[in-house]
Amino acid sequence: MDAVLDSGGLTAFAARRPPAQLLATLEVAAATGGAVVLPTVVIAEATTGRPREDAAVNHRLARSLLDDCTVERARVAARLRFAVDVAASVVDAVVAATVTARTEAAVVTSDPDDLRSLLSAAASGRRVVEV
Amino acid sequence: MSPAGPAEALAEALRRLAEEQTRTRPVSVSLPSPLADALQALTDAGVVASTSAAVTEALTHWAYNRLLRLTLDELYADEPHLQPSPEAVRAAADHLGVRLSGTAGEVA
Repeated sequence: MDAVLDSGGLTAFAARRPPAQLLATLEVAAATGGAVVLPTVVIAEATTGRPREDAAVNHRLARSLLDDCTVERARVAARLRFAVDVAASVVDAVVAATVTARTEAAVVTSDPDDLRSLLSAAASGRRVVEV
Repeated sequence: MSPAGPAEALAEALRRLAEEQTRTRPVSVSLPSPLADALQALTDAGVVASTSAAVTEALTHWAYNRLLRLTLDELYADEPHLQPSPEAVRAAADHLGVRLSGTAGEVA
């Protein structure tokens, strides 16, 4: 099972002491052949372009499998975004589309409501982990 | 192995894979015949571009799985109290709807 991180999940992963729920989730991913997956669009939300401020996040970025947003993925994200009532962000929609595109994955986020709605619209059954 | 440690060496190799125009080089490996047949069938059907592409994708994911294990071990080496208990890992697996095989919940 892959652990897909949004910007809140990446920030938690980059913390000096990552939260217990994240570490338990990553242990499950490691034990089941999974990886930490980062939709590349999250980099735009989670970094500043200032190397000193971004150092911890960049270190974890280098430990994550980056997943680019293809045209097909963007189309799925658009469909999910307009299928839900909430005003979900484009980044959240791409994260949800990334989760649904992977064979077995869960999303790790600090803001689960929109992602739950988006994943529900995808009828994917994918789980959300709040950190 | 690099003095920076196995995790850093693996992360650097994977960074180069992700960011650079990497050259390929042929390597010879032996696969179980049914797996080789399956790969050939998928290639013939156009599901995967080539056996090399399929093996590269699978090995890349495998390498990131190993990198996750090394990263967690690095973290616990610095902060041992952060290591989740087997019960916490099993609870997370239950929440995720994932079945852990054998002693997978008993983290090292």
